[in-house]
Amino acid sequence: MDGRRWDQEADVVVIGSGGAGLTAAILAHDNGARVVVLERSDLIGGTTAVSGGGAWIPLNHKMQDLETSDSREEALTYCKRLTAGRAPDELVETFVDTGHRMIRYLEVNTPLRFRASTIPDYQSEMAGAKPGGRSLDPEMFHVAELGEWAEKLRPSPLMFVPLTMDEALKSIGSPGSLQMTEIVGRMKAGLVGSGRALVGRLLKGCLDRGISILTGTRARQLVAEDGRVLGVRADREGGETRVGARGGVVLACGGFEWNQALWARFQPAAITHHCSPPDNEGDALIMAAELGADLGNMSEAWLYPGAIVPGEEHDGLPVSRWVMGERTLPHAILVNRRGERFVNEGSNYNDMSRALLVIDPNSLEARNMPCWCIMDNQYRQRYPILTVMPTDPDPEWLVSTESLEALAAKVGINPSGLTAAVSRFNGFARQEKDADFGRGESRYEHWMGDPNAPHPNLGTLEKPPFYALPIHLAAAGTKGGPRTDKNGRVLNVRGEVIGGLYAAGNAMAGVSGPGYYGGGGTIGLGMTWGYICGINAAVEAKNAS
Amino acid sequence: MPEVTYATTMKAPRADVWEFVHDMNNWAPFTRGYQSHEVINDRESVWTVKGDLGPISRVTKFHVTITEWIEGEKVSFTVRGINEPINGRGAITIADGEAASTLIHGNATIEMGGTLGPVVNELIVPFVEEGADELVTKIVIAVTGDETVVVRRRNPLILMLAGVWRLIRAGVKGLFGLISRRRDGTQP
Repeated sequence: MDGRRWDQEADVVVIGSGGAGLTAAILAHDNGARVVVLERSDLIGGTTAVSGGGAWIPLNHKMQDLETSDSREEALTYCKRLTAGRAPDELVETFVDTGHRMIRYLEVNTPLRFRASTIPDYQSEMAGAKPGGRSLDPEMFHVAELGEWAEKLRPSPLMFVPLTMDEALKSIGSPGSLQMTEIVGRMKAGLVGSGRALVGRLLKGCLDRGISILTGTRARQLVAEDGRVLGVRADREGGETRVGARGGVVLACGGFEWNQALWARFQPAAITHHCSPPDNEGDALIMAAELGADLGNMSEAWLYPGAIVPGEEHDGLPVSRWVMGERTLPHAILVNRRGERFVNEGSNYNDMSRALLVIDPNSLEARNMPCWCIMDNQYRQRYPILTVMPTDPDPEWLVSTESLEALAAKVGINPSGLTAAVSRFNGFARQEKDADFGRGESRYEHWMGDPNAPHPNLGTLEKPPFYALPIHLAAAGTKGGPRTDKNGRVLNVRGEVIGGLYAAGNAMAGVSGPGYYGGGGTIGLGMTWGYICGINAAVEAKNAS
Repeated sequence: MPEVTYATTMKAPRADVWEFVHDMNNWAPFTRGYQSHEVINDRESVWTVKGDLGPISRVTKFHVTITEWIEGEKVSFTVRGINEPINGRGAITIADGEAASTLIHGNATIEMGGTLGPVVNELIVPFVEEGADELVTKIVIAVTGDETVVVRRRNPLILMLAGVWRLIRAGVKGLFGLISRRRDGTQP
């Protein structure tokens, strides 16, 4: 193939239009490059658009608004503990040193605006953790500012009401905190929040710069010569288009969670549900592997416990809702089929989900799957269950009975196991001390709990009817992909740089190992590496010319 | 609260229109997101519809009760959600039009209650309005056989203005009739 014949040429080609890709595009442009963004779908925003939109960035300048201090040492201590040696220290240090510069740059030079969130770091009791401020919450965005591109802003099946990340999370334990009149006013005004606000603001930044964005264009293969990437072959409008990249190609098109074959090969457990766009089929991974890229962190994913409202769909697929309050609020526990509690239900969704991966060494079956959330009427009267508010009638899909034994029999849990577990938990709840799993002891759990309850996370299950909600293991994305150096350059299996090839976000070997730093842990890393890749690819383009 | 109002003319005799619309089995499948309906008795039925709530769709069951039935002229009904706090009501009226046509007037309101009601009501507006366009259009096509028909909802202000216009037009016609009869030497 003659790689030098191009349908169009740019200095930097960015593949993907999520937080990482759009940030890379802006930085490459601002560093003198002519940029083309290739987006596989007809919609802009990738996984970022369907998310809460937070960005976890230590040392960010917004922390001062909360009068919270931070230090490089604390951030590194915390991050390195969570990566558990599974990400190179050099990359963790680069993240900590660069993320805050990225946020400041984008706030000064684009429409992007954040507010510091009060949500504590996800492992809030670990050394170096902060009680709030490292998670940044994007401000609402008027979608009309995008003009004709407004229709291309990817909708979110989970965050489609204009709420900030903080508002959405705080409403779980305090449903009454939602100001409905205010929200309806936002809807009528065309405001969007969370991930859509973040993408909308970044997209506006790209459009203001005249950056070319080709939607419906799926990158299929990197064009390389003498071990250096020169451009991309892509599917577009039923044919093929070739886009040359003088400086480099940035892979920022998400993970591989929707590629069943890749998932089965690398991930430890079968997963039936994801909340990310189904385009995340590992395109970046496959293209990079074709050029001999080394891979890293392939067995890790951004996990969460999910549940389904039967009949609820988005784009023809079931909507996998995040189970949050149903495990962090009082009067609710998680049990396996033996009726046993098996985890601190209130821990962050990623780490809690690890308990769902445990394999029984004798039966070689998943020890804690299937799994149910068990609640009583005290919970039902106070808090939402997925989409069902306390004042709503019981939906048909929500299993309820007048006794725990009947509930267990109805859904397939060992009845004596369940009654024993509930009895033991009720004792802990009365003492406000979970001696088995330490539930409700962390700052993070308190933040996610009910601020008006006697204990924000603990309460007995004793008032019928009792309810059971089946839980599934789900992923918001994968964390594995081509390994990179601190400049975002992809490395081959011999540890050498593949010239002209960069990777960011969920497309790269993640810089958090198995951990989840805090709210926006995915996007913070993704945008930081987008920033790094954008600058370095632009510099490479300058050097090439 | 989502509300739709219709006023349209069908090129079909009133009896034919009534023959079609009086039996919900004829037009139930034309409802947007229709899954099934079960007739309980001549006044009550249970419907299952997959409706759009912003970017997601959700299956909802509701109980429809006919509260008024004037043969060949009018049907009024109420709607009550079975698994969600939905309430609504509506009516369809038909009357003779000009030249063997039939005038149809319809209105419906649907309202979600509960804590999230105000937000959900805002989200379901497109589904209710576009669904109503689709339903009425399909009924008109089924009755008249004219597949080129596209019916669009009318808002109450337009209906009021249309009524005023009809009155003016009738008045002008009457006035011209009076003048022409006087020119002919006839007495009013």
